[in-house]
Amino acid sequence: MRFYAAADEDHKAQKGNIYENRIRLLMSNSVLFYSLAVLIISCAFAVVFLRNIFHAGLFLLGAFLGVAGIYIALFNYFLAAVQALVYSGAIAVLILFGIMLTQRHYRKEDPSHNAFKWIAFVLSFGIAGFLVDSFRSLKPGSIFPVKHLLYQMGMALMQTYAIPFEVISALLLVALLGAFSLAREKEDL
Amino acid sequence: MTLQALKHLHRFDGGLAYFLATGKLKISTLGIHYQIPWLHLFPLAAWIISMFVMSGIVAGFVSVNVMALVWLERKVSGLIQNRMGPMMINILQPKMLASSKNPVLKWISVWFGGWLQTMADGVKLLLKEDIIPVNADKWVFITAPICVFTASLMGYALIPFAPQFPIIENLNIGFLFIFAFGSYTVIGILMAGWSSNNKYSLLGGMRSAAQLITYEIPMLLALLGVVMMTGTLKMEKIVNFQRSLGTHHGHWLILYQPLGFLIFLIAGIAETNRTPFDMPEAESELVSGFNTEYSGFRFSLFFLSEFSNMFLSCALGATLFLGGWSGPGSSYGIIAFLWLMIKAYGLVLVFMWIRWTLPRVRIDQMMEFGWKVLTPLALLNILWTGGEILLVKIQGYQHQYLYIWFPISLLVLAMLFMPKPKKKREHKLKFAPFL
Amino acid sequence: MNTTGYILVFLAVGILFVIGNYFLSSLLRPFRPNAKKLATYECGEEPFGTAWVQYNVRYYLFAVFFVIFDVEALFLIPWAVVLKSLGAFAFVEMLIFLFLLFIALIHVWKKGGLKWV
Repeated sequence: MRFYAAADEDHKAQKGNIYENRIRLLMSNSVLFYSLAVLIISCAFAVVFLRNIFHAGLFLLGAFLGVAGIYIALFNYFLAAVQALVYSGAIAVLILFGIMLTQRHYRKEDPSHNAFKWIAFVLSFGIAGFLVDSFRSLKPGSIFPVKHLLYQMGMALMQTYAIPFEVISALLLVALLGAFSLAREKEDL
Repeated sequence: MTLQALKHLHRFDGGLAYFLATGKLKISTLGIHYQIPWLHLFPLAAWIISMFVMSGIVAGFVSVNVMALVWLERKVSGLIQNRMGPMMINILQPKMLASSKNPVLKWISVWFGGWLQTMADGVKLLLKEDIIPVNADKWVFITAPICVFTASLMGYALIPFAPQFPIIENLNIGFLFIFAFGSYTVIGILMAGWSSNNKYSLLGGMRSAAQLITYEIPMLLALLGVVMMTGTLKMEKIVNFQRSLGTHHGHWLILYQPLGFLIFLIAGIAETNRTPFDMPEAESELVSGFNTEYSGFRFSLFFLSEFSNMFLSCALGATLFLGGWSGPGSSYGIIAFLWLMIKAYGLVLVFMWIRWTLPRVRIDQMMEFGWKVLTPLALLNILWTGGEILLVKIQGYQHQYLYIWFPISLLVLAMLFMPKPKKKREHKLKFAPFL
Repeated sequence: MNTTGYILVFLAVGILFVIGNYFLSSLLRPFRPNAKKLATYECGEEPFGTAWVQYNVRYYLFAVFFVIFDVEALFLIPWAVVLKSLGAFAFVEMLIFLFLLFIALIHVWKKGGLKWV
């Protein structure tokens, strides 16, 4: 009986002190965030430096998975599912199919030279600097779970952002037709 | 016995009695805290350990269930196609059982014979040599089955086997989670196909990925009809919505979503790579498809995940369209669990019936059916459901009266699938390479 | 917090379950490789070349269709959740959305893009 009592009290204490809970939440969250960040960045480096492009594609998938993990850490499970479905599901399959389209997806002797190496270097650093600069002015939002998240998202999408929502449809239409006509030229359907 | 008294049983049975009575399987219900006296001093450790135990229970359930499914598949195929095969293997001598005069023994031998074969299969696969071809890409080859199996295992965390059961509760995206992890199955299959460096494997993997992505769209769109009616993605809430419909025990959503259910069923068969959509491992052309080079335990992982995926989509269908765990007496956890299992196994039998009856379709037929028939039908279903909901909202109909649409929708379905009058036309012989 | 933790632990158990069983089988199974056993299977013939060759563009095209329709389905989900409370307005909005995509599907269909062979 003693153990029951002790465990019950412990449970009560956990529930009672919301403030402490939130601090614990923040700490575990930041641990999660940094480990995911390490995962994403190492996967990104692997994508850049691996010579076997199929492996590079798989590591890109790992980076997508890490981003989904960050959404989970932020309690936005819907975005995590979208990330998993669209990026790890659809885009990754698209990329892997694209790799199957190339003739030389695995050659050890291929040099990893790139004529645009330095331009790419400067550009990526420029973009990174721009992003860091713009994020510095942002205030951190709440990381605590939002209630009825999907419902609120739906309401916002249908009322506040109704016109962008319709524009997305047009964007998808154009993307579909563009991809279709590009691929069609190649295959001459 | 009161619930309080049941809770005190924790120390002896790990919360099993409480679960059987209430269907609640939670950390506190498992009673890990009470099993190990010092554990309450470390709440995080206690939580992690109990989570591990619970997930282990689910993994064990999946394995045992798959064995039952494999056995059932053999029985059904034997029944439908008159296969004698491994029908009879039992602990007792099969001959003695089959020829005995005792009707009970005879019944057992006919209906339960052969169950030992699955166990033998499992042991055999564990004991077999594991071969990694020299030309294969070793690490991708090793990771692929883990990817496929874990993806199918994750889905089980979401299925409400009993009221308040689901392991991951309060997840607002509900069944979308299963789809999200399902997308890793596609990747795993592509990885397996590519890394084997075998032409059959790669072809099987590519076809499989193409098939899975094609049928994922109608499946998602078909389930959207359910979401529109219930206004939620949480599976528990969907079950409770079905209980609240109608008068006494509630109505199943299949009455309101017949077209959606049909699309879900077809897409489910395609998503689990079963005949008539088993192009990825068409034995007559691709040896065994993406898992040609796999042997031993790695092969058994693909095998396991195939069957567990089948059960997963059946359980999903049973929960969303057939009322889930609800049924007479479902306030008791174990009975609720049994109801869900009965419904899911009913769907499993339908899957098996279809598998052993229909021949395989061609890959072009399969792809075109997915894009030209199922996807537009699923869009139609969404429009239809939207119209129904508007009727409810504007006219003030009660939801419960909407099932009068059921016969009408059946009629429309029959008209859609009516065979066209055959015209005489010459068959053009086209050269179709197997790519 | 619990939900996130559940997901992560469940994932860990899923992976550990596989690895543990694999380890178990590695204790039990034989290991006697030879060159013929480790060769790529090609119905008993000598393996010819590599399997990593160029594939058909059709797969890529269908993957593009999948991306578009997947995004569409995911946009439909928040809509489906709020449809009952918003009613006709949301329905009309979605009609426009779906109409545009349906046009795309019909266009691709008529141009023969959905043909596999």
